[in-house]
Amino acid sequence: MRKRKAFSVALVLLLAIAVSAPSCSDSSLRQASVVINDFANSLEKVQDAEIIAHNQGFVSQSDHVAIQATIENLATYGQSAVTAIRVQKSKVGAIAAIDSALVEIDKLLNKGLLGVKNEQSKAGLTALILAVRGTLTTAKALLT
Amino acid sequence: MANGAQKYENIISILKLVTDLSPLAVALIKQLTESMQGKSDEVILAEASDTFDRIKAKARTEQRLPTDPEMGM
Repeated sequence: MRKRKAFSVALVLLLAIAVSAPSCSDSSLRQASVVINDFANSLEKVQDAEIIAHNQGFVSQSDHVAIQATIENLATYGQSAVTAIRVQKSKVGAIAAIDSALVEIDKLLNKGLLGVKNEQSKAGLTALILAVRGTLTTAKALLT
Repeated sequence: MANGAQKYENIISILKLVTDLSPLAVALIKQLTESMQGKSDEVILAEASDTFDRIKAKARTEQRLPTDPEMGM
């Protein structure tokens, strides 16, 4: 009888661990959610700054289209990170989306801004993009 | 190598920079914390999701592309 009770308790404990392990409803997930929200707000600021620079004639039409395409990709990855946390409760999924976004950002930093003519605009955009990169690395650090 | 007076001036400049910047940094952190206080994870993520949707819509307009049908806009 005692053995059966111990077995039942062990089974319940195992089930509890199995259920709680992938759900990751811990404080790091909460912090990552806040940082991903920061990422969204920072990315929108980058987008607005680039549109202003383009309207002022500092970014050519072809570069503008390429940068906006990258920004769209970044927003898509951001949305994937949100879905991973919100729906799937998956840290792994969120980290994968963040990694993809980091690759896009590095491409933008290495090549995307070469065509920006005005040095002040280029410096401003680079600083904003580096800030965006910072939010992503913070979110990733919180999730790992 | 910097002499004593230069070192002193450097330290003063750094201290001045820190005291100038810190109220701004503290205000920003406070503002961010307050804006997130009382909000559930769900609300925070919903806000992020809305912002990403807005960015995507704006990016597509700037590229002169049609609205993404997956966005349901």
